[in-house]
Amino acid sequence: MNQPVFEMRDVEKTYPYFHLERLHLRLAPGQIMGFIGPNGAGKSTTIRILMGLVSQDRGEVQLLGHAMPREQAQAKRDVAFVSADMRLYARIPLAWHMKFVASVVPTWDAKYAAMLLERFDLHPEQSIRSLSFGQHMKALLLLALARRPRLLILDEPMTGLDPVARHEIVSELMEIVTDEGRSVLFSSHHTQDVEQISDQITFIDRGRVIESSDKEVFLERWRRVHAELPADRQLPKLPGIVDVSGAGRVAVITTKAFTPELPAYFEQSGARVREVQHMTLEEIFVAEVMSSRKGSAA
Amino acid sequence: MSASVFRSYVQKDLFLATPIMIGAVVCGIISIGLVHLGSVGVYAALIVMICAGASPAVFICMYSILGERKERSNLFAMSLPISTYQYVFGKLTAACIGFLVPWAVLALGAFLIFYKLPVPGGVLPAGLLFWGFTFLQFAGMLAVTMLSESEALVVAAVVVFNVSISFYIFLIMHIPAVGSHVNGRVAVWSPVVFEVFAGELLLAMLIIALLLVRLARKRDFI
Repeated sequence: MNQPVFEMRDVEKTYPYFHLERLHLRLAPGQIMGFIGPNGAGKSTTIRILMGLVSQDRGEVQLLGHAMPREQAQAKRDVAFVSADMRLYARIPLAWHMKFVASVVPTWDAKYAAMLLERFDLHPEQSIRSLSFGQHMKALLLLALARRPRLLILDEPMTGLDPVARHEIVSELMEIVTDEGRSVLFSSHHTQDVEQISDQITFIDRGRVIESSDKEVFLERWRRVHAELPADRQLPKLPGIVDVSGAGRVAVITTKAFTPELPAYFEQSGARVREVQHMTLEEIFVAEVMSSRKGSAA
Repeated sequence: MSASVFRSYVQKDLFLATPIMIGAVVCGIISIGLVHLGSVGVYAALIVMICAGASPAVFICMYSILGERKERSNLFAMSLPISTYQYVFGKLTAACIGFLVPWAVLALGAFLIFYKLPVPGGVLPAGLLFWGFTFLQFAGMLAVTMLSESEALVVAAVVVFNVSISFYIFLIMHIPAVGSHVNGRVAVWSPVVFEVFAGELLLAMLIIALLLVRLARKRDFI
């Protein structure tokens, strides 16, 4: 089996009002992981630990075979990181930033950088201060992509972007991920963007990974079943049912363990299945978080 | 440690600090021009020179260190292939060069002017001590800015920095070996002057060394 691009084992980090709890995360080469969580869930803390910017209290982190944070200088040669929080030097032009990155990263691809300048409609002589937020994010992305990294880490890159800029960035990401050797960790709460490009999905909430799986498995397993239930009948208690709601005699059952046999099973219990709905990643995300919170509170 | 990457980071910070360094030297040149304008001119020259000597310490710490952290450009700089320790060591090195180059140029220029031009030189020993004090102030500002996460604390340090200038001048004027010769035509170099100056330099270097040790143990940089 291929060595993972990164692996985090039993990672913990405690702040006064936040605790990252025994985090396990692993990404295989060529894979794109969507890292989804609500605000304050621990996405940025996880990424900063992975990048060596914050040290874990416990646990092991390997990034491209290097122990983090100790060997971060070597590991970061092949890792590019872009965050919504990140800013370039305001009073200096983009060209200077490109020259600076080229001076410290041997894999800098000047031809590709020139192509991205054109594609993102950026002007190298323009000072960073004069860029709009969307242009600034594109400039950061250009500086990351032109490094031709083996791993691209994006922390909420779509935050604050208009739909056109988001589309441009997602298109560019779709293109680079066709290169099989390149991996991406993409944190966001815009599930639509994540759904478009990810192979793997990890949900995190309140410092805990609540689910991690292939995207297709997620989309296949989660369903919303609308069933009509006679007054004298009760739904059978089945594993994987995370929520039952609805009005009157119609129950809306949300399950994370759907199988083609499930509707028939409900019918056998006296219910009449009206509809079986696929769920979007956003719906799955909300249901998963709510179910996890209910589970923690219970 | 990759020397070329480290060098690039130091050069980056020096490039960003260039306007501050040039500004300090320009202020120094202006102060030389003012010396020729009689007693008011000499007084104004001293004020401008004090500003030229002291202000790079504040500007470098506020813009190059605090500014980078506040604007989150540090996240960009630290995302590149450099370790967190190399990054802070690079910042420290660049800050020291950025401060010490204009500091040394101005000191040398001032001494040459005093010796070459027919201006009273009695103030020179006090000037030397004050120059040593600006280095000490710089070391203190550097330590507060690099260690503190609080902007309020850095602002408080700037206030202390400003107030301490008048207090320091008051203090050195009360050292007989310094204060009694300030208005003289010739500089009187008492051993006390060199002892105090050496003490200032040593203390500043000690602060920077301790800062380096503390930063080496820091675990979280963002």
